[in-house]
Amino acid sequence: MSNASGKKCVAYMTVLFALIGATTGASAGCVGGSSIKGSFGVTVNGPAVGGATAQVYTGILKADGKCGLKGSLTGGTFGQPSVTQAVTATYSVPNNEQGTVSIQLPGTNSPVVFDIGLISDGKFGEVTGIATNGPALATIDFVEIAKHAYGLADLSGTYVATCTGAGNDGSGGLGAELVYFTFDGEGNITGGFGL
Amino acid sequence: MAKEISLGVSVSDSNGNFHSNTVAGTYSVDKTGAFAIQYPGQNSRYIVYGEIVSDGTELRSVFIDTTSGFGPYRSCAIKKQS
Repeated sequence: MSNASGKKCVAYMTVLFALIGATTGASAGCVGGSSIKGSFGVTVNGPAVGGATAQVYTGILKADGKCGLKGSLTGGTFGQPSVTQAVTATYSVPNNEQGTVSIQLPGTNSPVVFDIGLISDGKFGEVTGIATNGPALATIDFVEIAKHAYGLADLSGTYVATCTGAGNDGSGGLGAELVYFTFDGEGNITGGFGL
Repeated sequence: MAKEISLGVSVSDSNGNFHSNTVAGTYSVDKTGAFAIQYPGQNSRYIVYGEIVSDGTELRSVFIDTTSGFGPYRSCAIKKQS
């Protein structure tokens, strides 16, 4: 083989491997990546780092099917201003719909690792888990978001909320409550019914 | 200082508090399914961030106080009743 044809062969092989990588989407070390794919509404309910007060976050994370998560979360620790921050995280699903998510929460210095279980109703995926490298009180919850261009009319009717975190007394101690409220589908929300 | 952050009626509260205040607020929804609710409280104006998930009858959110900078309160799993 001449020198010129050898260089051409190397160039073809480089393009070929690049195309194979793009087609499979394989990420080095990723196991079970395709088990989680799409956009998810995410909530984290702490304390994930430590302490006895509320630590909560919510936002949308997109799973790429290759063990990567990207999006933004809003929240923080009770008593401190909330932050909204871009987040990248990793996940792995090595064992029969069970795996881990490692995520560095806004305003924190090290990632929290959650053991997770995957659930599906056949239409929408869900991921639920608990922290393993911090207090196991911390939980994470992903629910898939339907592909749809949302607007005000998508929120209408009466909703029931079960909430946990800081209690109502303002001390920062943990508490829970049940709340009802109604969206009118046009940008207005009211509560105060039932009692 | 007591903080009142309930939107609607809290019929069950682990601190032994019960609320019957009626509030009115506004909300916005972006095309991704993210929403924000704002409503007035006793000492501050509150904001709730969340997402519309699943088939649209479920929401996930956190209650956050933005005006006083007093930090996030709790996360909520929300389901449509009617």
